[in-house]
Amino acid sequence: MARYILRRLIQSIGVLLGVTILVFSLVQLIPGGPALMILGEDATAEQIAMVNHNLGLDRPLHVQYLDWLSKVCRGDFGKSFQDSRPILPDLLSRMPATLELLAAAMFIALLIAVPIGIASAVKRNSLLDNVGRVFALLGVSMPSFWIGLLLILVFAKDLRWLPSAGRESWTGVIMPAIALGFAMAGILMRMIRSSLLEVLREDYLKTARAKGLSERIVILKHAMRNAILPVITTIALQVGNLLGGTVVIETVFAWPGIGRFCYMRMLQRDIPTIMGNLLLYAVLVCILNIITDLLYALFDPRIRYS
Amino acid sequence: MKPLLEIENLVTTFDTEDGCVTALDGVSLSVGQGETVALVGESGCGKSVTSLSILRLVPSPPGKVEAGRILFEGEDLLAKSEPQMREIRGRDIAMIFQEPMTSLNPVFTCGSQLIEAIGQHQRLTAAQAKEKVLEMLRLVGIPLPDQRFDEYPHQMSGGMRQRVMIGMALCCAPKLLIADEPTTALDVTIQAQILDLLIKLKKKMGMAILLITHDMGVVAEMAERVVVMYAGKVIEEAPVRELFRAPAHPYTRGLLDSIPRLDVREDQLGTIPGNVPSLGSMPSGCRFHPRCPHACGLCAERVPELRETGGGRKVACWLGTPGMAVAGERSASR
Repeated sequence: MARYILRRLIQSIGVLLGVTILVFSLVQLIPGGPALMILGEDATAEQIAMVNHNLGLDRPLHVQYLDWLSKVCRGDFGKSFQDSRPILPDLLSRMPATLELLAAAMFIALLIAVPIGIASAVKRNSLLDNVGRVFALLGVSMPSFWIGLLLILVFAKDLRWLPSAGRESWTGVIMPAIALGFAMAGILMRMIRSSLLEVLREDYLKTARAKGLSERIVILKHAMRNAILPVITTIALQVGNLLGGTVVIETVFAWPGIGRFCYMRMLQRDIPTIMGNLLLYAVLVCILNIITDLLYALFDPRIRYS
Repeated sequence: MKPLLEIENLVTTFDTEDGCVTALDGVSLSVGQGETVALVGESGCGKSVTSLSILRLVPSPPGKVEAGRILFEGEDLLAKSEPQMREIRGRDIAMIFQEPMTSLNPVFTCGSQLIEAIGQHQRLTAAQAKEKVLEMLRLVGIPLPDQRFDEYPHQMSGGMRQRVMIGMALCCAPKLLIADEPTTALDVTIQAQILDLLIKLKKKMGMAILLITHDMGVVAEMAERVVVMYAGKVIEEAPVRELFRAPAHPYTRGLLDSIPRLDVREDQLGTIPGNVPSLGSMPSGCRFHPRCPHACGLCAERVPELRETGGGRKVACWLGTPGMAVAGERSASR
């Protein structure tokens, strides 16, 4: 088990190093380079050279990268072009809002997907199964921002049940979480359905029934414990998508998280902040993946002992 | 011997894409208290469906028990409610399956799966249940039961897993054990061990066994009485010695001829020509007649009923009946 965790950690470090290289290369792709962006279009060649020198951009690429990497490792993500404030504290202070939204969206997705997915598999080809499948297709095909706008129109503007924006009261998280979680619910539902259908054919369910267990225990305990494994993998893959979705949804609902912050800085071409944000998201995804791997091992003894 | 289980005219059907097929067509058999009855036949003849029908575990849909009665201690299992059936499963009638590799849930420890079986039917404290499980594991010959208790199925060999399955089935001391090909998936040496274990446990606990198998060697080793099935019907029933000495049905004779023997010098094993008919396209009359060396016109027209021939024997064949006498002699002399 310890070796399993260690292996996962080492793999994550590799992934993160790759991400830093990608993020660093992004800066090199900016037309005209950062100097032009700071100074504006009218800058003279001398001004540009001076800014480049001040920023250290006239050094060889690998030196720039290593210098940047060592700073990043020490928690120094650089300063914003916009307001010259250190980036990391600004990002971290917005992290709780984003994590809250993420958790709420995941909760909503599971709340919808688990019961419908199980019912769909157990009552295969029934009316409920068909409705569930249409629902899943809708979830996957509707863009989250559009669901968000619809929700605002109905529940905030017309019915006035929920606030349309902000994080002042706890009800504020409901609509963005639904908008964000809906697509994931669709995918998870399909995944739970097909995974459970596979397991329902297994011999050990016959054994469980022959013991005299009730159908509820046979499905929820014996079948689901096995069917959940591929679902966990799907959740892990979907978390990355969800994180990307926060950028749009936080903007739609004026949610004070990293996503919206980053969206605004993107409009202002604040490259260092965007880099910091990308890195932070990558770290977040890696951490969540490690957690899923651990969950996987927790649920499947065959992994734990191999 | 008072019958513990009596199946009368059981009909089980399955809805398939090609329409409704009849997997069991009027199966009747009985198992006495403490008796071991072997249910024999080729794959697809309905042996497993019979056993699943007894416990009402035929997957439905597509399967359905259409007609018949299954009397267990005089009560019709088909008339019982699902909660009543759940009390019978595992407590009065237990079952072990062919595939020990896939019959245990891979994500739970063996111990917890046994505890679950006991806890379902008996009110015991956790400590008592564990003690009972360890006792059961010792009884089925698992070394180091304390250690094995916390192991997962994938950490055990096939033989060990089948021992765990047997332990699980017998932990509530059932009156009837249905063993569906319990040794088929195992190595030959392990097969013998598992059979010995079943014989030993039967002596100790006194339960009746309905042994489902296609292996005549296993039948000879364990059974007192044999029921032979072919294409969803019982075609012969006899005490085991009688059946091996003088099989009455041509199909049974074919089955026995296909066992390799050391005492008879033969270049080739006996085989039964042709294949088991598919459930969707059953031949008319006797279902075995297209493959039968003694078949005559009557066999293709009318279904032979299972009739008693004395000495506890039954056979469903026109051979030896007045209508068949002439035709039978003709084909025998051919």
